[in-house]
Formats: sequence, C-alpha cells, structure tokens
Amino acid sequence: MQAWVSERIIHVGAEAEVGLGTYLGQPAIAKIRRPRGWRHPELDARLTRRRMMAEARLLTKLARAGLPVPLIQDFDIAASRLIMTLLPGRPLIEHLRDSNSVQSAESVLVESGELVRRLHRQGITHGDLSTNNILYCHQQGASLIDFGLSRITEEVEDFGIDLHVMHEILGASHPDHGQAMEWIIKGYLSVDGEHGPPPFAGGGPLPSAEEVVLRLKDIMTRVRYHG
Amino acid sequence: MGFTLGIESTAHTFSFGLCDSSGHPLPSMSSFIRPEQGGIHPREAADHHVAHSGELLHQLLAKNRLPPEDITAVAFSQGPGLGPCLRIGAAVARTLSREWNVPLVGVNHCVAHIEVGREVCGCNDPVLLYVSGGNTQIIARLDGRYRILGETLDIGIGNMLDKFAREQGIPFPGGPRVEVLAEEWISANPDCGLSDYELPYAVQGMDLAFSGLLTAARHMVLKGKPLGAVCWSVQEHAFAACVEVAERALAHTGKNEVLLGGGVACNQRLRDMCSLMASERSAESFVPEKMYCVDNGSMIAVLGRLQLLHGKSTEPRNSAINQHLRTNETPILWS
Ligand SMILES: Nc1ncnc2c1ncn2[C@@H]1O[C@H](COP(=O)(O)OP(=O)(O)O)[C@@H](O)[C@H]1O
Ligand SMILES: [Mg+2]
Repeated sequence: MQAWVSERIIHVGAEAEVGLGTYLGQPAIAKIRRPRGWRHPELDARLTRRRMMAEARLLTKLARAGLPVPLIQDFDIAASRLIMTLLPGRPLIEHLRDSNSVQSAESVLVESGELVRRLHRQGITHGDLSTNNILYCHQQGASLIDFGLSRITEEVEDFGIDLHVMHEILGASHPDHGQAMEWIIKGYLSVDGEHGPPPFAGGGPLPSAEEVVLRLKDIMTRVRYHG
Repeated sequence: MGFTLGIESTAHTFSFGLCDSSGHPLPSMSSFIRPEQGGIHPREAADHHVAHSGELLHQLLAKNRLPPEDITAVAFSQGPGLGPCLRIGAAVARTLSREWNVPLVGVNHCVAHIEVGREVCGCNDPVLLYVSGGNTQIIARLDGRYRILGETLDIGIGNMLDKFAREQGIPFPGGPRVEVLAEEWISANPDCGLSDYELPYAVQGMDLAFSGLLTAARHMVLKGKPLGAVCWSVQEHAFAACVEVAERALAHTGKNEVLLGGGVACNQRLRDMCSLMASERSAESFVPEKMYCVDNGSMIAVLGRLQLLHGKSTEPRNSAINQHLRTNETPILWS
C-alpha cells in the first residue's frame, strides 16, 4: 500500500504546493516546495532546505509543547515534501471576509492573538503571520500552520517584527476591520496575566508581552520615518 | 483639458515633466545632484534644485514647443521625501499655478510611481514591487487605496546598494555600477558558485531588511573577495528577497499582474527575475521604460491629472509638504 495518496492540490503558494490526500488512510496534507527558477539554484536549494528543516523541527517542538499545530507524518528532504495531519477550520482571511461567519471577528482575532503569544512564550517566532497561516474552527478554535520562516530566538526585536508582519497584512488585506490589530494585541497581552511571566528560553529570559507590544510600536514608527 | 505639468523634487532629482490630455506622459527634463562625497545632503540638494528649476522648465517647454497657455494644471510631489527638497518643488509649483492661473495639485510620490507604470504598461490591477533609494514596498490595491503589504524594516534597497558602492569608492549613485560589475563578473566566471559568497537573506512574511546584508557584504570585501563577485552576490540575494515577497503578495491577494517601479527597477537582473517569477506562476510582469522608473516629473503629471479629473485639486493653504506621507494615505478614486 502506498502511504500517501494524493487527492487534489488545494493551494499554490509563494513557496509550496499544498495537496490534500490521505496518509496511511487518514486525511493529510502534503506540502511540496517547488524549485524557484528565477532564483539562483544554489540560493534556492539553501532556502528550501533550511525552511523545510525549520518547519519540521519547530512543528515537532511545538506539538510536544501542546500548541495547536499540524503533526509531522513524513519528511522527505530529497523530494522537498512534508506530510502532516489535516487541521480543521478555514484560514482567518476567509473568516474575516465572510460576513455570515458565526463567530465575531473580535473573538476570532483575540483568540489568534493569544495563540501567537503562546507561540512566543516558547521562544519561537512564526516568521509569516499572515491571515492565510492561522486556521480557525468554531469547535476547536485557532491553530497555526506554515513554519518555514519560523525561528528560535529570545530577542524582543524578533517578536516585535513577527507582530509587525501581522499588523501590515491586517491593514492591507482587511481594512474593513479597523480594530483587527487592537484585538490581536488584546489577546496577546492577556496570556501572561493568566500564565505568569514568560519562562526562560535557552539563553535567558524571554521578553514580556508588554515589552513586545512596545517594541512593535517602536518598529512601526521606525518603518514610517526611516527615509 | 490641456497639458499637466508635473514637478518632482523629493530627493536628489529635480524634474519637470508633462502628460497630455489623455493622460499619456511625455519625457521629462531632469537634473540630478551627485554629492562629491558621502550620501545626499538635503540642503545641498535643495540649493541644486533652486539653481536648475528655471532653465529646466524653459528647456522642457521649448523642446515640446509648448506655450505656457497650453498648460492647464500644475502638479507637484507633496511627499514623502526630504523636507528641504520637497519645499523647493512645492514653492515652484505654487508660483507657476498662481502665475498661469491654473489649478495646483499635490500628489503622493509613491502613488505616482504606480500610476505612471499602469499608464505606460497598460496593466490593470497589479501587485507593485516598488524599489527605490529610500523605499522598498510591496503594494496592492484594495478598497480604494494602495495598501502596503510589506516593506523594508531598515534601509531601502537602493540606499543599500549605494552605501555598499560608496564604501568601495564608487561614486553616488552606485547601483548602476554594481550592476555592471556583477554582470562582468558572472560573464567572466560563469561557473562561479554562490555558496562561496553566502549573504543574509532577510524575509519575514512580506517584510524585508537589508542592513545585515550590507554589513556582511562589506566584510566579504574586507576579507579579500573580489569586488565583482560580491556585487553579483549582493544582487542575487537582495533581488531574490524582493521578488520572493512580490510572489508572496501575488499568492496572498490572488492577483495575477506584477508591476516594477522605482529607480532600482532599472536593473536588468531584477527585471529578469521578476518576469521569470511571473511566468512560472502564469502571471504577467510589467516594467516601465527606465525614464519612468527613476524619479521623474512626468509621473507626477500623470497622477496630478487623474486627481484633478476626480475633483482633487489642492488649495494653496493645503499645499504644505508632508515628508512622511504614506502610500496608503491617498484615496484612489479612479479605476
Ligand atoms: N495542516 C493543514 N491543515 C489544513 N489546511 C492546511 C494545512 N496546511 C496547509 N493548509 C492549507 O494550505 C494553505 C497553504 O499552506 P502553507 O503551509 O501556508 O503553504 P505556503 O507556504 O505556500 O503558504 C493554507 O493557507 C491552508 O489553507
Ligand atoms: Mg501560508
């Protein structure tokens, strides 16, 4: 029996082609990173390899820590293919554009903010917090996917940049939700209150949620006035 | 409606340009300050602009055999840019508008790069990769604004290239010379491996950063690597990062056109990468002629005309410059 059986391509991203199918009979997702012909082949190979490794390694680490992320089922570096469990729900971008959504945008975004903070409390940035990469399901809540640009860090700047990516995408793609980033931040700030100060990562203490949000404001000002 | 005059004065270039009554740009008349050493000094640039404005306008009108009566509006860059430079353009614009008794239109410089590209390339709803000295942004239109999906978190890609070049004794603007050195290197060493010249590649979502790359490239030269090879590697890394975020923006927005703009869009390697990327994902890539990529007065005229058609002229009391004007602050009323 073939372990992976492909059904159809569900997404052609900037980096990977994502297919839906089954792995050992269970619904699964295959993410295949295609070579980019416009980029120098050595650079392309280096990035693909690094991102695949990061995605597999950090997904494993986060799943162990109990975060809602896909579980790795197969990792084939030669074929640039990663197989993982299928998560329920739709990307945030669809929820925010769907006026019939059962859940209010506020509760979805606050919950997403909480999840991002829980990720940061592991000493890990996501690297591409777009509204395509957060899935939301009414029964099971928010989950995170797409960890190719994810990194282990303790630097407040790295966490601030992670939020900045999200800030720009919410402003550009969801201008009708003017408060979207405030709700994300509300959720982001609430977690430390509940779970106490952030734990120590490998090299030292992680920045508090307040410190990260302050740094985000700093980055926004810097970007605006850099010229 | 006759011709619209456009005045560009955001940084080192002072330029007058025109567009005709159908919105088509005519070549600009420009002058450019080349600092003796170091980067541009806003005040010196402003002095240069004052010194050249009279003769440039005269040359533009003479070349096109255009009497001032045929000009029915005066547009100028209101921002973003260097304060002292912007003020000169704005002052010249106010004076001409008063003297000729025609409407004054203040425009957003970044939006002008987009609109001139759409006009001359005939694309409709592109993702714009805007790469200039001070700006590096990835932009897409949604709900009547050009919105910034991502941008550089530190320095613009053009400034990075110019700074790197300057440290190697190449005068400002260094970007074109870096392009030549890179091209010469790779033609002479077609088998050169990029792994021997590895540089940082900073992409976070659709945000970019270039200062780490600049530092690493500087060190590479200090360690004795050939300058041509480092120039080549700088281009391969920095442009790939830009094209990658453009591709992310296409995937994220579902659009299928990409438009290049800004001075760095003159670079052939970047143009090639961008068109390859587009064709690999069945999208289309558009690049204006070089004269409409660099800062030019004609693009200001193109946008000024559009704004005027939609009732957006600028009262002199509202014509103050805005150094930090953002791409997404300008309403886009036309299709
Ligand atoms: N584990 C998963 N469960 C459910 N859907 C997924 C999963 N992984 C990916 N997807 C879907 O595929 C899309 C692209 O996947 P992603 O990993 O983000 O690739 P890319 O790097 O191309 O953005 C997502 O936006 C989502 O809709
Ligand atoms: Mg994704």
